Amino acid sequence: MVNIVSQLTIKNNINELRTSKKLTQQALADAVGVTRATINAMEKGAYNPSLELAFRLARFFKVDIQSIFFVEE
Amino acid sequence: MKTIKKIIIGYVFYSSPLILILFICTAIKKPVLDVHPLSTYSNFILILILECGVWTLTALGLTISMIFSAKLRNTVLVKLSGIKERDEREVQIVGKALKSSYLTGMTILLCLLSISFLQVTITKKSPDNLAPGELQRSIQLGFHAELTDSDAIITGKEGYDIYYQYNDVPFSVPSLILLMLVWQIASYRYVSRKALKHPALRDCD
Repeated sequence: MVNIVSQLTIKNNINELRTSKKLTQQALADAVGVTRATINAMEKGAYNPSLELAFRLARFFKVDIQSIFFVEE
Repeated sequence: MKTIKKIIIGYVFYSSPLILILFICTAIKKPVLDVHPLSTYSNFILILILECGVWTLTALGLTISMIFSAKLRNTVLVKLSGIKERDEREVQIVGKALKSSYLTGMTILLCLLSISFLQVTITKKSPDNLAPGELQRSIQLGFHAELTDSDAIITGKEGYDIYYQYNDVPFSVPSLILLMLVWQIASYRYVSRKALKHPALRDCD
């Protein structure tokens, strides 16, 4: 049986998606309405965003949420 | 109305260093104010005292308004304590820092409460009056809890002189309030800055 209570390690592709669009952290931060430090923290994997911010990022990059955020097994 | 509020807030905050100067000056050297003509130092202190009176009344008015007006409270105290909530991550950091500040503040208050309950008396008897086998010094530990301030009468053992007596917290009420205020702001700022530099929120306790 899968243990669903244990802490999940959530990774993301924000850095790859941002660099593919040739955007700075500040430009992405302005586009989704957060500070540059938050984008930096997310790229480093130190901060997991709220669902709302995750949807905003997905809408901005025009991809599914699961294409940005995934659980590392 | 907004301009008047701004002037009052500015006056209370920008002239607060003068109160600190008065506090330090009187702690270092007590001025003699009942001699004429007054010395330059006494004149300086007199002006500071007058300024302090006006400041106290203005600060009292401002703080009473702050109790009833959430908007005013936010305007004044958010800036003073350095709370930044520009996005969801900062909101989380503020929460963590406030939790830490609240818990450490409560710990200090509990510690002060325990200290204020404590009563220690060390008594000493002169060697001439000592009976064989009797100790020269004795320690009394007591518990003292009163709702209002009163001079507790502590008596030593019969025939003993009081050598040392500890009763209540060794600070005045204003200095304790000041200590708690400074602690609240300093601990909040320290934890939030640490969390902002090292974004892994779980490490900032």
